[in-house]
Amino acid sequence: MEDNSKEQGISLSDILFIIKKRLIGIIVIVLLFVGFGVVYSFAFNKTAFQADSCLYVLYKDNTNDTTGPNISDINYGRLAPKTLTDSLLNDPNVWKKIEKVATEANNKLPEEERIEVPDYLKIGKSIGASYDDKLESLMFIITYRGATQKEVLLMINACCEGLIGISEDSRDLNGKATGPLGYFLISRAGGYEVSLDEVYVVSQSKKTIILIAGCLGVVVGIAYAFIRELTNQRIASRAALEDLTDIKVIGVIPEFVDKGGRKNG
Amino acid sequence: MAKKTQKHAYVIFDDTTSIQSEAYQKLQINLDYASIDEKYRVISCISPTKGEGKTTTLVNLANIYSLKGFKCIIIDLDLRAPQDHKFFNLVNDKGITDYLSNKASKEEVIHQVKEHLSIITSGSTTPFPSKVIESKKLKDLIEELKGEYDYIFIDTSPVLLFGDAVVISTFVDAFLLVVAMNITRKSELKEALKMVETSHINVVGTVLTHADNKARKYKYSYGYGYRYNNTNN
Repeated sequence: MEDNSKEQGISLSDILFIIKKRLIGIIVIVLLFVGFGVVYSFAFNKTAFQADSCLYVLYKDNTNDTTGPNISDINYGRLAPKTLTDSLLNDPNVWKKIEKVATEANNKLPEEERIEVPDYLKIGKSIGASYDDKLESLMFIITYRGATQKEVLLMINACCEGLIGISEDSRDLNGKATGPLGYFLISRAGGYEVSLDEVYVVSQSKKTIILIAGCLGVVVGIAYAFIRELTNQRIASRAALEDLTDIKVIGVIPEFVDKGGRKNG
Repeated sequence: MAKKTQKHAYVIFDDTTSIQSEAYQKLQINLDYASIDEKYRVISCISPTKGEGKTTTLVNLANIYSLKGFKCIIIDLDLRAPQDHKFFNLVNDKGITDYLSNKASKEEVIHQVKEHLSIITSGSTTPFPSKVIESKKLKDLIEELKGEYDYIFIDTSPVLLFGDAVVISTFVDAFLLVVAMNITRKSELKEALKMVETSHINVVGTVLTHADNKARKYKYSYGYGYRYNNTNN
């Protein structure tokens, strides 16, 4: 009379059934997320600009030789960019130096081209730095992100000049490098100058934001369906009924809906 | 409480090939299997609350028995919310309360609605339904009807709302516990089961109503790590 099959766990059809059962809820959640995505992309997703620059790191005992890395420099190739990257990302004194350089550069500009130089804390948040340790490169990339193209152009150059200045400031009277940063000489990569054209837009496109919101909505929607199912306080299945009582289920009556939409069970 | 007040269709499934009718036929067969040792002739359906398909199940089960040639009678003892007469488009003017208060004769309150199916509706409303159900005259009537009918089906009030089921359990042979899918709360069922156990009501089986056809496979497997195995039945 009854189904005698013995199967374990949740099958794909069970999952599909749960999703189908809560489909309206899932669709509502997806639409809500897409709605939030649309609102966010239009109202809050302000355009941001970014520029990258490249610096060489040299370890020099002979400070007069600044032509490029020599054989002994290679030994420090791995250490130098890492130390400087850490300093750039974490040392407020480095940010203050950059702020000072930026302010001086800004003051030299014609008044109509000047920007409001960010304070050192904001500079710290806007800076990014990376290096390729696998290649033992002596080069590291410095990145600056800001609200306007002019700001980014000024600040990326200030960052580079500031770092170069730090290494130069660290030399003693005999020209020998001193202090933690002083062991390194930093120079801009040959011929690499950041121009206004190289400042690019980095804010995410509206389509991407809406797409991500939609995908998140699907994930949250499905999670909602399963949570609802697991926390359902009503008898949702024959198994649920059998789980609550030892009395045998001797009848299962399908729901009947007549033409007038009236239910009978 | 029931999930919501639903528009209710008072339908008797006479088409024996319909899915619903087949489900009631299956229920009737299972009930017969359950009563192999001891024949249940006075049958009632109970449910934790209202709107779970108790009356529909009772009426359609009685109909199936009558279609198989058994002489059946339905007595509507759900005096607080009588519904049974609506299934047969009867006017509920003279019924069990009128008979028990000597306002009508037995013949006047028994309505033959089909070849082998009769019904005694609830009748005039009474302010003391419990008194009516507890009356000796009712018990005597049941005994009398046992001599005239093969099966007596008694409709009653929800067990969590009223204690009528406990009272009628003195003359009912078997109860079916009706549970509605996605309507009956687990807590309500647990409470009803506790009540059934403490009152020693003889529930011979449960009936799951409002079952979602799409949930047929799902109902066996989801959430419990096993599928129902009925080989021990």
